[in-house]
Amino acid sequence: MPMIKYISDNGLDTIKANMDGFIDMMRNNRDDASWVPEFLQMNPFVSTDYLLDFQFVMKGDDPSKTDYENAMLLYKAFESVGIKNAVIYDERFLSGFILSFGYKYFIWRWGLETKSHITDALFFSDSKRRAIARNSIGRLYQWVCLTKDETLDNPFELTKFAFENPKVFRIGFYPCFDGENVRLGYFKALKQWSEKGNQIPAIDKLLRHFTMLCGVNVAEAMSQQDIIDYIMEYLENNR
Amino acid sequence: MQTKSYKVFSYPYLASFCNDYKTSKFSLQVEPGRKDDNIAVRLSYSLDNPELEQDILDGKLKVVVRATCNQYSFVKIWEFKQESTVILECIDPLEVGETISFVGYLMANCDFDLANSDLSDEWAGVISRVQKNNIVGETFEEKIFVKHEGEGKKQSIFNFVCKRDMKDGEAVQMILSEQRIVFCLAKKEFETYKTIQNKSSPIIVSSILVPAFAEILSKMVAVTSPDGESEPSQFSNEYGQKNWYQVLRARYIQTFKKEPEYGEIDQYKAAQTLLQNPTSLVFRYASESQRRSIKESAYADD
Repeated sequence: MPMIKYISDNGLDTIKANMDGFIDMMRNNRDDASWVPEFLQMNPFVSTDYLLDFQFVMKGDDPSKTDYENAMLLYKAFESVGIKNAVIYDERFLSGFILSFGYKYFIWRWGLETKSHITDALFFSDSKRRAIARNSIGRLYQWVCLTKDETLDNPFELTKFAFENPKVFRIGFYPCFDGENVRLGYFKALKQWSEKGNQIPAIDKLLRHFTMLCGVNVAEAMSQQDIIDYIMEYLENNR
Repeated sequence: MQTKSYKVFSYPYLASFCNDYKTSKFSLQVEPGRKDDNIAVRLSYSLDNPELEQDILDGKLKVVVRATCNQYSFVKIWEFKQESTVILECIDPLEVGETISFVGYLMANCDFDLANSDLSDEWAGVISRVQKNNIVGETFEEKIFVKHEGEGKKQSIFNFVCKRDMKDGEAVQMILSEQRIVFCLAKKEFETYKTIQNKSSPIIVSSILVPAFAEILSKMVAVTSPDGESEPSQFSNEYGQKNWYQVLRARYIQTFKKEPEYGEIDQYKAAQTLLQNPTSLVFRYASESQRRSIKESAYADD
């Protein structure tokens, strides 16, 4: 079974200092990342104890349509080997995972046209929070974590809804939605709204409205129903 | 350095950043420990306002603590029982990053009229309507630091790397946008660096790191805003969340018992102290080399 490898600190520093050359090499080597040690003149891959039998789904003309399927596979794979957030949400782990398990998938899903795009989706180029939300693997895993609700008959019911409306994941950038009751309340309100035949509204406006509530309340200590009611009221008033 | 808070409430608010109450204080104590593989925290609060204490006993108010680790979208809320000021909780260290922040809040359990005899002149005699879930006070933020052993540990806050497109002899480049300070060297210089890094480290430290650290420390110094308030520099806003910045700042405070943002200590001297005086070591090293060469030439004459 293949081993998950992460990238050493020195490896990441060297890659980022030579980013242009690194991207050129990716463009010329689209099958796997075996060229990396030679290019860096050092082996940046560090072994871990995690063994994983994993393959990304790559089918159809629109790669973004596979996001839900791949996110669920990733979530279940990480869960099966017991890897936790402190390990997963680490640049060394995520970039190592992409280069060892998802190299072809990454190129297929994200392309290699824009440098900033590659840097954002393959490495961390911003604060950790934003970087995770932009990383090609970090975001897929995070999206499942954000929407999983163990109290439902199907814990991934909200996950499916959210992947069908990916703009709702903008909450990843807003710390006031971190509380479980808040984010699940938010997804449930939007799902109810959508099931009534309404369009999902402009999310940023809704999020800004919600941050006003968080200024004077501890939203995480409110009941989930209070959160749903608050969002539904906003949606009704801003049709 | 304490930053300003811009929170505005339509009722008196009990917090260190506003003076709506004359003498009342509300604070949170966080004592971290370990329980098996988890972080155990003992949380206790103190509130020295009898009327607000009575509101808690009457069930109008409750005290909640919010623990957050923004990096990982981690949030936990705990509620103190009505007659208790202490709670014990556990956190899985693998669910959080390096820092967990704790803030205690006074939160309304129902709609009620808030009145208090300790209100400042501005609010004296005012009865304010507070709605269910509103917060009417908060403690200062307390932080605990989590150490991730093994794989998660960063060994140094700086690193030297080879940059392929640099020409030999080109000036060293410093990158601050990563979690470590990265010095880029051309291929030939990098090879030389690798050969001499152990035996001549004082020379490398004093010639590259000391000036770099001095420059960084000078840019960390706070600036004065037009209204005379001290506020973080643009440099601090840009890099304040980076691992190297936080480690350097913590080391500075530990060494000098002052915050680097105040810039009270000469930055060049501070940089040398933080790097354990490599410049003095270079002089000692040079003096020993000179003595050795005199001795060697004396033997040669014999």
